[in-house]
Amino acid sequence: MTFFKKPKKLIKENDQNKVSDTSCELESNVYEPPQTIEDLLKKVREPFSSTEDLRTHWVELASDKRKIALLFIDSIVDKQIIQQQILNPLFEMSKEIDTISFEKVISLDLKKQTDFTKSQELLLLSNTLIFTDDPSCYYSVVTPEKVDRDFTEPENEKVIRGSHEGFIENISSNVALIRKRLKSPKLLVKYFKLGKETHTVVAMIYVENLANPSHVKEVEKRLTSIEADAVMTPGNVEESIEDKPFSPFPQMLSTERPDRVAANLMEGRIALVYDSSPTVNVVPVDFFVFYQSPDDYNTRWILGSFFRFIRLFSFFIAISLPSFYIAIVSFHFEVIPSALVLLMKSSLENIPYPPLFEAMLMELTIELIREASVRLHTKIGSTIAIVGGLVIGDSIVKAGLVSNLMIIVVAVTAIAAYIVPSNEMSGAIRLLRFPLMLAAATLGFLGIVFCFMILFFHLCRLYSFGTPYFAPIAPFHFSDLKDTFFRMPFWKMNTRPKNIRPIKESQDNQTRKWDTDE
Amino acid sequence: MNQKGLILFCSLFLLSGCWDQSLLSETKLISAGGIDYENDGKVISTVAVPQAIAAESGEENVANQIFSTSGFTARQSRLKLDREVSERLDASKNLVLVFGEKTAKKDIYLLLDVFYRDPKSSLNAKLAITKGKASDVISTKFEETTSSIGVGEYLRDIIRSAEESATVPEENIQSICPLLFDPGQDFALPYLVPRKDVVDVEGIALFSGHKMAGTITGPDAVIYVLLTGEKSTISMATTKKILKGQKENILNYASIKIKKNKRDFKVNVSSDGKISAHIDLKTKVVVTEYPSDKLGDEKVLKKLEKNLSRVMTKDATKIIKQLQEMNSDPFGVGRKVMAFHYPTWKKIKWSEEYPKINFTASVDVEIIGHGIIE
Amino acid sequence: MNKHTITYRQLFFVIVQTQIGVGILSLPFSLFTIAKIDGWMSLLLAGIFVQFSILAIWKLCERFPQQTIFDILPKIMGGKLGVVFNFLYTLHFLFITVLILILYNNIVSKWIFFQTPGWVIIFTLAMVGVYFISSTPRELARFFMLVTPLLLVLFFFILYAYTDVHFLYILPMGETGFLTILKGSKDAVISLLGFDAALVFLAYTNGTSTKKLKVISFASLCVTLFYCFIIFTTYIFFNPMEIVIVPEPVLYMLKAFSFKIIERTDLIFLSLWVVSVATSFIGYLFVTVKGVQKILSLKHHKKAAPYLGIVVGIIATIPSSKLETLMWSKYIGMTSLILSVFSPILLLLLAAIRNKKEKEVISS
Repeated sequence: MTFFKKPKKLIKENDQNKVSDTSCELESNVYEPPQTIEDLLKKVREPFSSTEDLRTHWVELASDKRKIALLFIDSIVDKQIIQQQILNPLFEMSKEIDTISFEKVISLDLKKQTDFTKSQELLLLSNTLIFTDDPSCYYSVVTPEKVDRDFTEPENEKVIRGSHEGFIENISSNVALIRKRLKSPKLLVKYFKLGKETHTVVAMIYVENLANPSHVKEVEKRLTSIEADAVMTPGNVEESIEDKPFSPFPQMLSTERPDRVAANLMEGRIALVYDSSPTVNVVPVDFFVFYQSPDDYNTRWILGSFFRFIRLFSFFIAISLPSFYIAIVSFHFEVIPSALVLLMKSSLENIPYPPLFEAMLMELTIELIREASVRLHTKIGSTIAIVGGLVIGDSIVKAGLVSNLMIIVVAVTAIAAYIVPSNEMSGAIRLLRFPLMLAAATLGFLGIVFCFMILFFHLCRLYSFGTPYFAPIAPFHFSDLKDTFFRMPFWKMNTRPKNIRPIKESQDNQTRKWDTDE
Repeated sequence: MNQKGLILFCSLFLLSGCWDQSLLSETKLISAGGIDYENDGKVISTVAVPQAIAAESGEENVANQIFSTSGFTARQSRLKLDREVSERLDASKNLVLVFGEKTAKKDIYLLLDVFYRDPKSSLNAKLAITKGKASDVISTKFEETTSSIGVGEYLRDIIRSAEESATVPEENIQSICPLLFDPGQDFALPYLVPRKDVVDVEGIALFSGHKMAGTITGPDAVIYVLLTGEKSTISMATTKKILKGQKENILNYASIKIKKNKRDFKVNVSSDGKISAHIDLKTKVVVTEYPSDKLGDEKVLKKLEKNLSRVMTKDATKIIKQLQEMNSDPFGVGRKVMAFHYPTWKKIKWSEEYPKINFTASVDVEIIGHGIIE
Repeated sequence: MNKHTITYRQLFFVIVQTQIGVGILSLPFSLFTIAKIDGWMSLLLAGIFVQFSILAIWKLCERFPQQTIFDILPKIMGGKLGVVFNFLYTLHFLFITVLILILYNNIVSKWIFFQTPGWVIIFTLAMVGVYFISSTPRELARFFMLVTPLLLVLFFFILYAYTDVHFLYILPMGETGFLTILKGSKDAVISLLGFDAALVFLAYTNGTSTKKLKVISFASLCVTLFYCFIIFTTYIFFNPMEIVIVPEPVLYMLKAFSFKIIERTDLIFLSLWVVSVATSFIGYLFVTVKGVQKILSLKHHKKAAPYLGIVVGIIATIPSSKLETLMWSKYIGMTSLILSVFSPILLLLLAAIRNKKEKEVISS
C-alpha cells in the first residue's frame, strides 16, 4: 500500500514547489520495482480497483516473441492513434527491438518514464502506457480522444464585427487560440494541477515583458495554495483566489472570447485557462474592464465611445431606477414636474400595494422569466419570453396589481442590466438594486444617497490581486480614461493602463507614423 | 467587527418604518388656491384638486374638485380643508395662488407667510390678483378647463401666455419675496378678470409695500413691462395709435413687435438732496402691421419711428405718473438711492419722498424690420 | 504606516471634503446676523486667518514627520501632560463629529423628514461613518476624490440663481465697518474648520514638505472662495431684510427653481449635500478614531470604530430643541476655535522653544 500513499504526497510537494507538469525528475526510488511485467501491471492497476474501462492490451512481437503490454483507459483514448502510432510500427518491426530503436519507431509523443508513481496520473491524462520486459522503466504516449467541438462563437458574448471564435472545453486548443493571436516568444504558459482527486489542469498565461512580476507571483501563490479535493470549475478557482469573497462584484473577468483575452494580455494582465471549460479568467481587473467589449475596438471610435457611455449610464439606471421611482412616488413627488405628476397619480390611483412591494413583485417576476428562459431551448425560451413579457405584463396592469409606470421602470431596468457585456457584472448589478430599493422605501433620496456612498466606497476599497478595483476613477489616472469612459482612437492608445503596473507602460512606436513623418 | 457593523446597519433599515412616507396615490394634489377675506375678517381658502378619471383608451379626463373653508388664518382654513377631504391634501404642486382684490388691498404678507414657512410648499407657483373674489375664479367652470386640464393649469397657462406677450411681469411666490421685504422696491402681479366662461388677464395690479395700490390695464401694461427693463419676451408686441384723422380709423394705428429693449436707468441726488430719476428706453422693433405701407421710403420710416417714440414716451410718462400717485415703486428707484446714495437714504422717509421726486422717461424706437412687404 | 500613505494631490481632496460640510447651508445666514451684507468680506478675512493656522499646522507636522497630532503632543508636552492633551484633543474632535451630526439632523428633519425620529437619521450616517473609517486613509482619500465632482453639481445649481439676482442688494459695501466684519469672521472661521484634519492626515502624506503646504493652503483657499461664492449669491438673491428670516438661504433659494424635468431642486441639492456632510463627518471621525487608538494603544483603529460610532450617535441625539442645538454649536465652536485654530500656533511655539524636532525616518 505504500506505493499508493506516496504519490499523493508527491503531488502535494509538486504543487508547493510550483513545479507542474514536469515532475518526472522528482526522486522516487523509494520502493523496489517489481520484477515481472505482470507484477508491474498489477501494481499499476491496483489503485483503479476494478474499473472496467482500464484495458490491457498484449502484443507479442513477431520477431522474438517478446511480450509488450499496452495499458490505457478505454474511454478517454483515441484507439485510432494507438493503432497508428503504436501498434502499426510495432508490427512492422521485424528486427529485434532494443530500447533505442523502440523509441525511434514509435510516435513523436513517446516518453520514457522511470517514475512508477506517476503512472496513475498519466493514465488519467489519456496516456497509453507501454510496458516492456525492462522493469525499470516504461513508456507513455499521449493518445487523447479528440471529442472537441468547433470553435463556435460564445452564445453570451456575441459581437457584430470581429472574431467569431470562442474557447472550447480543451485546454490545449484554448492555449493555441491565444497563441494564434499573440505570436510572441514572450508569451509564457505555466501549468498547474489543482484538486487532489480531480487533477484539473490550469494554465496561467502572461506576456513576460509586460505582466508585473508581483502579480504573477501573487497569482501563482494563490493558485498553488488551493488545497481541495475537487476543483471542478473555474468558479471554484475564482472563489478560492479572489480578494474579497463577500463582495458582490466579480473580481476577475470571465470570458469565452480569445480576442478579449489576447487584448487583455497585451495590457499586462494574466489569463487563467482551465481544462474542460471554455471560460478563461483574466486577472487583475478593474471595474471598467467589464464594460469593454471587443466590438468597441472594431467600430469607429466615436461610436465606440458612445457605446461606452451608454453602458456606464446603464449601470446607474440598472441599479437605481426602481429605487428612484420608489423614492419619488412615496416620498418626494415634489420633484417631478406638475404636468407629469397628475399623469403618475392617475396611473397609481388604484394600486393596492405600496410601491416597494409593487417593485419587488415585478423585479422578481423578471428574474423568474430570465431564470426560466436561460435553461430552456431557444424555441421554448422565446415562448416564455412572450408569455412572461407580454401576457404577464399586460394583464398584471389590467388586474390592477401593478401600475403601468412600474412596468416601464422595471422593463427599462431589466434592459439596462443586460447591457453590460459581462454576465457576472450584470448579475451583481441586478442583485444590488434590491438593497437600494429597500433603502429608498425607508429613507427616500437620503437612503439612496447613503447606499450609493457605501457602494462606491466598497468599490474604492476593493482590490483585484493588489490593484485598486475602481481605477482609473479612484485612484484617478487621467491617462487611463482613454479606454474607460471613452474609447479613444487606436493611435491614441500608446500607454497601457497604469493601474495594473505593467513593466512596459508605453509602446515604443507611433501607431500613425506615416502621418507624423510627413 | 466590519461585518457586525454591517449587520447592525442593515437591521437599522429593517427596523425602521417609513415615517415620512406620503404616497402619491394617497394624496390629493392642490393645483390652484384662492384666498379671500370674509367680511368678519376670517380667511376663506378655496382649492381646486384635479382628479384624473382614467379611461381605458388612455384618454384622461380631469374633473376639478373644489373645496372651500374658512378660518382665522390661512393655515387654519387649510387644516380644516384637510379634515374635509378624504385623502391627504398636498400643496407642493400648487400652480397658482389667487387673491381677491379686496384681500390684496390688505397686507398680503400675512397670508403668504404660511407659504414661505412650509418646506413643502411650492414657491414657484404663480401669483395673481383677481377682480372680485378669488373663490369665484377657482370654482367657476370655465370653458377650457372642463375639457382636459384642471383649473390650476388653465390659470397658470393664461398667466404664462400673458408673460410671454409682456403684458405682465414674470413673478412667482418666491420672486416677490425679496421685494416684499425691500423698502426700496415694490412689485406688480397679474390682474385677472373673470368673464362668463373665460378668465382675462386684464393687466397688472401694482403694490405699494404689502398692499395693492391700483391697476394698470390694457396696452399700457406692455409699456410698464418695457420700463421694468425686460429685454424681450417671445411675443412682446403692442399696437399704438400714432396718427389722427385718417380716412379709415384703422389707418391711424401701427402694430410693432419689440425685438430688443435696452433700459438705461439713472437716479440722481442733487447737492440739495433733491432726488430725480430717469428711464431711457432704447427699443428695436419690427413693424407687424401698418396698412399705410410705403415703409421702403426712409422718410416714412423715420417719421414712423418718431411717431412711435413720441407716443410711447407719452405713455411711459403717464404710467410713471400713475405709479407715483399709487406710491408704488416697482422699478426700484428707492433701491438705487439706497445703494448709491446711502446717506441721503438714511435721512428721508421713502414712502413720503417717492411721489414727489422728479421721475421721467423717454422711449427711443428704432425700426429694424417690417415683415416681408415694404 | 507607509503602506497606507496618500499622495499630496489626494490630501487636497481630503482637506476640501472635510472642510465643506454642514456650514454651507447656514453660513450666509449666520454671517449676515453679525456682519450684515458685508458677511462675505468676513469670510474672506476668515480665509486669511485660517491660512496662518494652516501654516502652523504644517510647520508643526514638518517637525515631526509621519506623526499624527496624537504622537506629537506627548513629545512636546512630555508624557503625562501629553496623555491629557491627547484626551482633550480626541474629545474635541469627537464633539466636532457630534456637532456635525446634530446640525445635519437638524436640517434634514426640518427640510425633508419631518416625522422620522432623529435617532434614525443620526444613526444612519453614524453607521455609514463606521463602515468608512474601518479602512485606511488611502481608501478614504480615493473616495473623497471620487465625490468631489458633486461639488461642481452643487456649484451649477447655485449658479442658476443668477437668473434672478439683484446686484444692488450687496450695496452699499463696507457700510458696517471693519470691526463688525472682523467680528463676523469668528463665525466664518468655525465654518471653515476641517483644515485641522491635516493634523492627522499630513502624517500619511507623501511628497515634499513645500508641496504639502501648497496643497493644504490651496485647498483651504478653494473652499473659502466656494463659500464666498455661495454667500455672495445668496446675498444678491435675497433682500437684506428677508435673509434674516431665512436660516438656510441656499436651500430656500433652490426651492423656488424649477426646470423642465425636475422641480424642487432643493431636494436634489440636499441629497447631494448629504454626501459633503458625510465626508466631513467621516474625515473627523477618522481623526477621532486615531485619537482613541492612541489613547487605548490599540493595534488597529478598526476595533474602536463601531463603539465610537455608537457613542457619537448617542451624544448627538441628546439636544432636542433648536435652542439647545444653538447652545451646543456655540460651545463646540468656541472650543474648536481654541483647539483647532489657535493651539497649533501655540504648540508650534512650544515645540520651537523646547526645540523638539525629529529627523525624517528613512522611508522605504
